[in-house]
Amino acid sequence: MEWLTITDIREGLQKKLFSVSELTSTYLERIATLDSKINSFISVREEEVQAEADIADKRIREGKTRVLEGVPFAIKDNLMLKGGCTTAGSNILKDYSAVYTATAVQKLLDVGAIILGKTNMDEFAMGSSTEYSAFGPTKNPHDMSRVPGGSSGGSAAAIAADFCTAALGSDTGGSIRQPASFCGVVGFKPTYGRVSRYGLIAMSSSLDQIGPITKTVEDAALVYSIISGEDKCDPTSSTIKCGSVNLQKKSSLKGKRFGIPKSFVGFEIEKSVQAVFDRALADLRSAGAEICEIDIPLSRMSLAVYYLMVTSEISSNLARYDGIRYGTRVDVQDLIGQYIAARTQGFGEEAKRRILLGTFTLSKGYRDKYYKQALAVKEAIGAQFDKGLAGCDALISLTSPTSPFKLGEKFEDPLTMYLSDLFTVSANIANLPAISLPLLSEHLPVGFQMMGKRFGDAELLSLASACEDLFGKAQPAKSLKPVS
Amino acid sequence: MQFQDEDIQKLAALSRITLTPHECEKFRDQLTSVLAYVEQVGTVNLDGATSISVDDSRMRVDKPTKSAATQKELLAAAPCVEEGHISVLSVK
Repeated sequence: MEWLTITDIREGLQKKLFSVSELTSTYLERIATLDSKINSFISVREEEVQAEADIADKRIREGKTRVLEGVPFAIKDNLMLKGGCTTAGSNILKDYSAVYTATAVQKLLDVGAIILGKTNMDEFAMGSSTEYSAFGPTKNPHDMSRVPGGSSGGSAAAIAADFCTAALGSDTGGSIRQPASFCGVVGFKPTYGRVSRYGLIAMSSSLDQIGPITKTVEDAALVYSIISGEDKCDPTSSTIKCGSVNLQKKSSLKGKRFGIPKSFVGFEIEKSVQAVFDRALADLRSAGAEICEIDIPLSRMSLAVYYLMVTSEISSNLARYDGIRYGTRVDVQDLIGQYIAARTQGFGEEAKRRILLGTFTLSKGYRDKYYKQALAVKEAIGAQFDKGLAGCDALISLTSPTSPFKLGEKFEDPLTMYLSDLFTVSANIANLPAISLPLLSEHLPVGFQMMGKRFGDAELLSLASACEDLFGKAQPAKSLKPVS
Repeated sequence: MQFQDEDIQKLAALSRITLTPHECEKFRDQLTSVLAYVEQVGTVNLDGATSISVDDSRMRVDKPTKSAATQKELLAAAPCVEEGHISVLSVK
């Protein structure tokens, strides 16, 4: 049982090639043997999984199989699963046990998915390398001296290491797509509002979005179709009716028009990464697609808008961590001292850095200059992207300007780290769906990003599936040996 | 804008965190460079800019719904509980 997709598992279970118990035992054994090297999981639900697998097997025997019956998932540790620890990668929540389940997770459970465990992440999803986790960094399964990307680095690494079949991550500025790119797998960020954020520990409420990390576009489309939809518990979940994903009817690439944002051209891109991208462009042209440059001048501002919005919203969202209702009580004399001690000991360096900047940008005299201006520029950027997308089927670019960097390489220089999100943030700022597909590369993984029209998630996935057929599917990391 | 040590300490006090002198110095320089980068947002001329927001925000019906968690479960998450209440330290 190696490198199984959801489709493979559904088929295998139906044909009785294996049972859910055998399947989950294989994954748990693999995690137990190999994850000490990767550190992709913060917690593994060994006992619960075995009991849940027995129930799934019973349902299958009784002919009550659901869509994801017995499919092993991993979920990022900022998603609540009732009764289990949910740390968001932070010391301040290290002992926190979730009191309810996130809607997206509940929807997976309702159709039979089995959650193997919770995956590592940058603290409160702040980071692009998973080095900012209070539970130690995650390593890239393709090269363990390198980062898996972030902040959903644990979920992407768990897929690449074949520790689970599919995973959930969250994406505020690229946190699903950039780690998917670095780990050579598929990562999809739906349009903001398509997936309920209820039960997702908030970083930047205006931008956070949950999405799948998988081995194939088909699996991403299936998971997306299950977790998406309006939710009464999240008033920002959209009421707009969207078409369903149908990958059976293949999109042809012939005559399709892909735009490369002009503002993405000219940035310093690693040579070997650019070469892989150029090869993908040549393949697209050979398949009959047209590639053109599209001018979206304001997209240059996306990263700056992003950092003003996230730091402001972080300083507000993280104000709730005071060690009173949850978290850790520190032995001090008075209430203010308790807040300060809990926060000083509980938050890591990146969280503190962003809280400080956000406190500044929201302070009297600066709120209009920074936060409100950023919100206004965000709208203008979105309008320019709409105009650009009106003339093509999707926008394409590299997911990241570099290949996975070495652990520690960008740790001390936050601005350089932030710049690794350059190509991904625009989709969050413009509220667009975007996906990262793996490109075959002789060296380290490279990701190909496609951005679609707002609420055109189904069309984007269909187009991405056609591109995946052209580029080739994700491959498991070679450096990890399977359990014999 | 160049942050000074006093600025960083003031922001830390407002954020209810304390910083070591080393952290203060480091954040002072890093935040100055991040702020210099994000300040370009102020140069955008927004005259005639259009909006993309889909206003489908709506109010919830004003009816109590059953909580996903019981009072007991919520209290169990708090580090200090006394007689069915979350206990806090005195305000000084």
